[in-house]
Amino acid sequence: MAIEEYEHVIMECVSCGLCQSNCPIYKETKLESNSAKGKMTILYALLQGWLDWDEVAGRMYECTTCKNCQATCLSGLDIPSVVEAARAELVEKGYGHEVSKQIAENIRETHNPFGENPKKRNRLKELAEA
Amino acid sequence: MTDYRKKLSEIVPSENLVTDKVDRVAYARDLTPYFAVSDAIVFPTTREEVIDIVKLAADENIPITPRGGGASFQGSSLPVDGGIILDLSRMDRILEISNEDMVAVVEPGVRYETFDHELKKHGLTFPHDVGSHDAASIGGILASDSNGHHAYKYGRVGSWIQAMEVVLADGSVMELGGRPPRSNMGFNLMSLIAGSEGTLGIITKATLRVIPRPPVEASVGAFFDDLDDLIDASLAITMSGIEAGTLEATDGYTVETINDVMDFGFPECEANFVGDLQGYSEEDLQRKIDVITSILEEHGGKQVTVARDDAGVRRLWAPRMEIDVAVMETNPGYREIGFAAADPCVPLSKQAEAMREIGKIIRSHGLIAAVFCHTGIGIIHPAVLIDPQNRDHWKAMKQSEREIIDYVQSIGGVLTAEHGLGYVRNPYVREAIGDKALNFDRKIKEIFDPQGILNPGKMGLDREERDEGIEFTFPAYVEDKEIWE
Repeated sequence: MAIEEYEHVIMECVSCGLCQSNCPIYKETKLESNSAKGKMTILYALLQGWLDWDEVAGRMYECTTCKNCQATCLSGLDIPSVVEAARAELVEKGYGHEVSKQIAENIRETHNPFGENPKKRNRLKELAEA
Repeated sequence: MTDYRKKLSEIVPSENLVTDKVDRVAYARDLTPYFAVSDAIVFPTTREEVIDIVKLAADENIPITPRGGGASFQGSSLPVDGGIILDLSRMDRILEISNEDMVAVVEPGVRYETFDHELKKHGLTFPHDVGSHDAASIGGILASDSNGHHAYKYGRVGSWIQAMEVVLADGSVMELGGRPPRSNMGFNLMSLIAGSEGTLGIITKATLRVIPRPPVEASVGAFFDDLDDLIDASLAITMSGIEAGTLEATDGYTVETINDVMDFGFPECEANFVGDLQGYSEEDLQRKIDVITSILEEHGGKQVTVARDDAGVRRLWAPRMEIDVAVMETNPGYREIGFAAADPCVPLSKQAEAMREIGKIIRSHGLIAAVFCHTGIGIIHPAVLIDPQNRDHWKAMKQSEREIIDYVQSIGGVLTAEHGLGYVRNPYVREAIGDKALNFDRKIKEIFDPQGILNPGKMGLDREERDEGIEFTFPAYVEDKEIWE
């Protein structure tokens, strides 16, 4: 889904900052561009043409999409869906994250996101049982 | 990198200086319509770094905007003249909690709920229940002299500061107050700094008074067919002496909207009452509950309800706390805007009249309004929700703002009692406080900050307009000059 389709969500963010305290990334970095509030401002600026896709890419990948921000949002906004839509568009525009590319490659080649042999899947279970 | 940004990089480690455009943009917005991008965001972690940054800003004549959580409602922490954002969120240590002296010593970046959660372990509380919760930093709360939901019971935050360390505009440090609970030694400069919104100095440490934490609490709600009866009940609760934490009213539109969206089964009414009570024992709390429920029933309250569990408390507070969500659900794309008429205060005897009139003014311009009131202290919050892409809405909001402020002042009320003056209220400061007081304010500013580098563009101290030389978040925004000139 194109990011434009989420414009109303981006508009609805009132920048109150209640999302900050629950965000695992923000708590680590104390950087507004890592909070949901900051991301909505960044995406708003992108939609207005004040920022380009290549400028926003890095910050859009710094999100766990854990939905903690949604749980504390004054407006109940589904921020992770907006971030995921932005990421989908970033991939289309050629700004996919290197780690994501590697995971996709691993799944294609080994059917395992970590590139491990699928036959090892039960190893941890066996270890635990032992 | 400009010359001064290079010098900043010599004061703080690289991870504490942010100059990338995408990050500067993330700091450019708050609840107001403005979009103000700084040149740099710098994160000091020590008082010495704050001193060096301020000295650099003074040497280079660069604006410096202190920022805590960035939760301002009136543009107080927006860098309207660019320059440096001094983000204090990484100075976030709780330095001491003393049960013996009943104080806590904190750095400015400590968040409110984090602080109160830590106090809980000591059986203490900083009891103001600040509405921005963990979005608000202690430094921001003190610099704004905030109220909090419990201002009715505990007053404003400023009177709870026992000591303060302030970095002034020349980089010197002023120590105010001390550890004793009381001092009376000349001008109360702590009161001057509290509420100065970062225009006079930067708070780098504060000693705050704390109190024993009440172990039990409850919320009480009721519905009234007549708002006057609610206000009478509120006054009777005050006169009973039971010391509720807060007393609140919301209007009938709010209750109806919450009902439509959340299906709580609230009755049709003109107004909803909700309050909270704290107790130091079950007996203490029960006595208060008995008094408040009796008063509500005697004054015609319907569905008088006491709640102590999370779900019950949330239901009672839904009209007050969840109206924005409800309106957005029924009007996608709408949002609340921080406007200049967001928190006027009226004499207690005028509360019912003012709630009705303020709602009527906003709705007469075709806008959605949910009107709340802290009925113990006369503060009225009209939440105006608009479509920010609609020019007519912006125009209507500004017309409503002007009419509300005129009306409030005509009945002996004041422009603001909670959110401060910030940037949004620049055009209203002179009429609100008068020529004499504004001239004194400007002289005080001149003494503290002769270069005018600390948080410029705020509180009417160096300009009496807004919308000039600043970007707007929304292209549809209507400037003052388009309406008033």
